[in-house]
Amino acid sequence: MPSSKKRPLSPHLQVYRWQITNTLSIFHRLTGIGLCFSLVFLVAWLGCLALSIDAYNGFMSLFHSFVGQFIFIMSLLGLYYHLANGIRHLAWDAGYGFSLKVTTITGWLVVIFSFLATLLTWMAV
Amino acid sequence: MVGSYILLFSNPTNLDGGVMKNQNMRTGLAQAKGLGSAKEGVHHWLMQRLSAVFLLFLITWLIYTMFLLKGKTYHEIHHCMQNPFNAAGMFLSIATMSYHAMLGVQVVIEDYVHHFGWRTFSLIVVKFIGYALPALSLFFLIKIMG
Repeated sequence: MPSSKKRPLSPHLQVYRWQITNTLSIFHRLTGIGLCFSLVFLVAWLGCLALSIDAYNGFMSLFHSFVGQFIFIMSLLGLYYHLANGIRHLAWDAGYGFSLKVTTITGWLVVIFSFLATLLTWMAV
Repeated sequence: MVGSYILLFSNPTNLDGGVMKNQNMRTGLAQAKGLGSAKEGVHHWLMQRLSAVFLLFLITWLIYTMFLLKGKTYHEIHHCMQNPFNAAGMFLSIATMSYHAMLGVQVVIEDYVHHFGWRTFSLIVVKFIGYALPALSLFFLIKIMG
């Protein structure tokens, strides 16, 4: 749909209230995109394991750095969130949980699970 | 062959002189082809859900395996990945994640890239990476096992 002139959009982000439904929806997309980068890091880890012990130790020293740990925690958070919300999506696809009450409850469950699972995983590692 | 073209251009009400044969507005050809307005069918949607279900199990296995490997030396982890079952699990995890990600990013690009040329280019790049990543990880695993 090419347009010759840039026409103004009616405001939406500044206008509509953030609710559990639309917030979790955009975060499902954002975590999905973020996890693409995490996947590349996973393949890089595997590659360093395959190449040599020096490459692997180099990777692990980066992993244990502050930036590395930050990326790791954010990846865990993204993974657990996308996983939990993904199950919520699959339930919708099967026809369950469309009422606003159930959607709100499952939504908050997803958020709580994401943070809890991330915390537990990071503490155990 | 010619009959299908007649179906394509005819109004359903004309076929038997007045009464609508179809409950919907689709021509016979459209119904036979089974495609919607996306010109592509529901395969993408289904594969996204199917790969998601596989990933429920694969991610569980992956997290469990990574826990087992925590704190181990390079040689111990290297040896663990030489086990063909672990190698297969790692490859299947990465491949299914890549495939699921490829499908998902396709949807995002279709949503936000409005220029036909850039959209096509982006989709091609994403499809390439979606297959290149598992191919790369396969050769990493072959090197580890070799």
